[in-house]
Amino acid sequence: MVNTFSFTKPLLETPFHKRTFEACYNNDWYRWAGYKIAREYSNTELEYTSMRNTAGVLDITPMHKYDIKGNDAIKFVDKLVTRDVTQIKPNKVMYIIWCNEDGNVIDDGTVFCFDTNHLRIFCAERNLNWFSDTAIGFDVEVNDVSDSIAALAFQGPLSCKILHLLNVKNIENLKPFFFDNFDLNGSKVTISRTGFSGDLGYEIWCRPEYALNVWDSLFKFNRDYKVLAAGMNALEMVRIEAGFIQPNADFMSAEQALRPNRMRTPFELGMGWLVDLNKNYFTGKKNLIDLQNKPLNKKLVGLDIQGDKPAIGSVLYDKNKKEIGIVTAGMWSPSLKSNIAFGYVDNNHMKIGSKVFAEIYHPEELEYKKIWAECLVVKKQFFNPPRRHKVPADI
Amino acid sequence: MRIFVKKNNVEFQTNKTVEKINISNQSVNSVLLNTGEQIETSTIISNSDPKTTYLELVGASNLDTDFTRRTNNYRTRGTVAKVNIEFKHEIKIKNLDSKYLSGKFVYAPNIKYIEHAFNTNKYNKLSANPCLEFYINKNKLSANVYFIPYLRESSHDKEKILTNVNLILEKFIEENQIVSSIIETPNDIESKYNITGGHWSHGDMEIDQLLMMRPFYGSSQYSTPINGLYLCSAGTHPGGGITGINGVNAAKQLLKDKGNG
Repeated sequence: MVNTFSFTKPLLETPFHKRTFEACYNNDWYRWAGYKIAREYSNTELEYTSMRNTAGVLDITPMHKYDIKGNDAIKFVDKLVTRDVTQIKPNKVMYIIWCNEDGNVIDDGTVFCFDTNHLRIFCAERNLNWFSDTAIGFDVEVNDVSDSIAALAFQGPLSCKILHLLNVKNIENLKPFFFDNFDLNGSKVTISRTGFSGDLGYEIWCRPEYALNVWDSLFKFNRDYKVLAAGMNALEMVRIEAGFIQPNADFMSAEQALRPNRMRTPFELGMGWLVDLNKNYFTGKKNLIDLQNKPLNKKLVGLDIQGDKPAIGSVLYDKNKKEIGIVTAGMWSPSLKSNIAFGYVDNNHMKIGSKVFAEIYHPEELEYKKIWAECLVVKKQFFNPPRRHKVPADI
Repeated sequence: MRIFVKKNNVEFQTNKTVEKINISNQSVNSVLLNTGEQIETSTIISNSDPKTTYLELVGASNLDTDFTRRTNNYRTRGTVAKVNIEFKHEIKIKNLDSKYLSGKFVYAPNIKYIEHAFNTNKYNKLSANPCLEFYINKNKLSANVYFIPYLRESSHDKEKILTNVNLILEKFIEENQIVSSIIETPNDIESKYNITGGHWSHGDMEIDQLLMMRPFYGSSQYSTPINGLYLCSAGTHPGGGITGINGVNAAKQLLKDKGNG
């Protein structure tokens, strides 16, 4: 008898696994924080299209979730991050980044305010060690609650409509970057109007025992609206269009980079708008004050690239063929009908409208086609439809 | 010293505790005393141990996480207890001429003995056979007892420590009737003198906490990340032992920064 190889161990299964396993026609799994997450269910383009036309469902349970409880909860987060969070109010979500003492970015995430003594941070990388050390001297307790909360991203122009059809009361009036508790088809859930797609969308958080009911509910109206389960490949496409960067893909987390010159400051990542140098002291402030007026050596910019061949991994050059940087993420954008990318450029090419060149190696039947493509430096946010911000949202 | 400073119009204030060092824009601003009094200043030299200075007086909210991490991990668990014993008779050491009594006595028979005395300390236990370092003054004896751990969750059996010490002293001291004995464990030293961990050197004197790395990276050479704040305690180079060098060096660094050095 032949033993079949089992993927069950050591990767963990999320509370949605029964459903994701059935839906994952390709059996193509991605490892995320020890969990098994579908990379592609059946067809990345279809999954991407569902997020841009109807709605896509992504299992984001492996996201790291840290509960911050105690009298100094807000003070603690304010010391941790570069933005002023002292005015945060219950039900509000803020996008945050945090740096080390040199002012290099460690990670980004969102912070949810339940009340002034209870906040929760969601992020892609493990941060318990950093948070616990930041908590020294503060009256707070930091707990990793990652495994006790199941999470789905429900992203796309019809996401609000479908939640409305599921009798999620008043969901259309939930503003971007706010959250609340709702009843979803009999399950208690927390829904935030947040997401990684740059479109109208929600993230749904619930106890693991409600997971399957929540999943099934979102597909309830599929006779009329073709909601699809979307994998990590499709998420990669929407996040590039939305201009969202990822640690250890577009920049090395300062806690993980081995080479000091690979770390990046918020200014180099184009995230200067998230840095408030007038607020109370936070980790990295001293160095960021020194750096704020110094010229940057490198900057992560958006690129609009000639032709239709994705520039993934391409080296960037100036017009004299001098190497100036590298592309960190790239794709042909079906929505924008353009060839877009994020890449690092040097100080002479940071301005919007600058021209650089990408050397693209495009594989064509066992031979590389080398393409010398002109790139225009543009804003990183390529896709930003009005419906993303509209209140009340379209139902 | 008192006369010298008085001549130079310097005032000493004693019997007051500093509660907080107030910081604005990463520079010292004032100190708050337990009396509620606030003294404005642009320069502070702290002889509190580094952990107390940074985490209690300055506060973690004014420091980078990397820095509080290093402060927190700086090893300050005391390992030495202080014992003062008063004998009924003037102390005489067996087989020793009384003219040598003014010296320092060390009881640490061999390297293995010292290692065994330290081993128990690693597991938060008392050593039944401790090492001693003591001085004698007529009928009084003052000893440092190695190694008595700093305990976080339990308390010391002080009687047992004294018994262990006396068992050793009995071997050397004639007519050893004891009138009274006082013991201060690292925990006592911490609460009595506000020294984190009750460490008599304000931190382990080990290779990673010495010289340019004392107390730790980012805080060495008497300077601190806070403008105008200096350290001069035993937690700075060259460590404990009341040599006065820490203070001199701190003053030199301060004068250098002010452009007078």
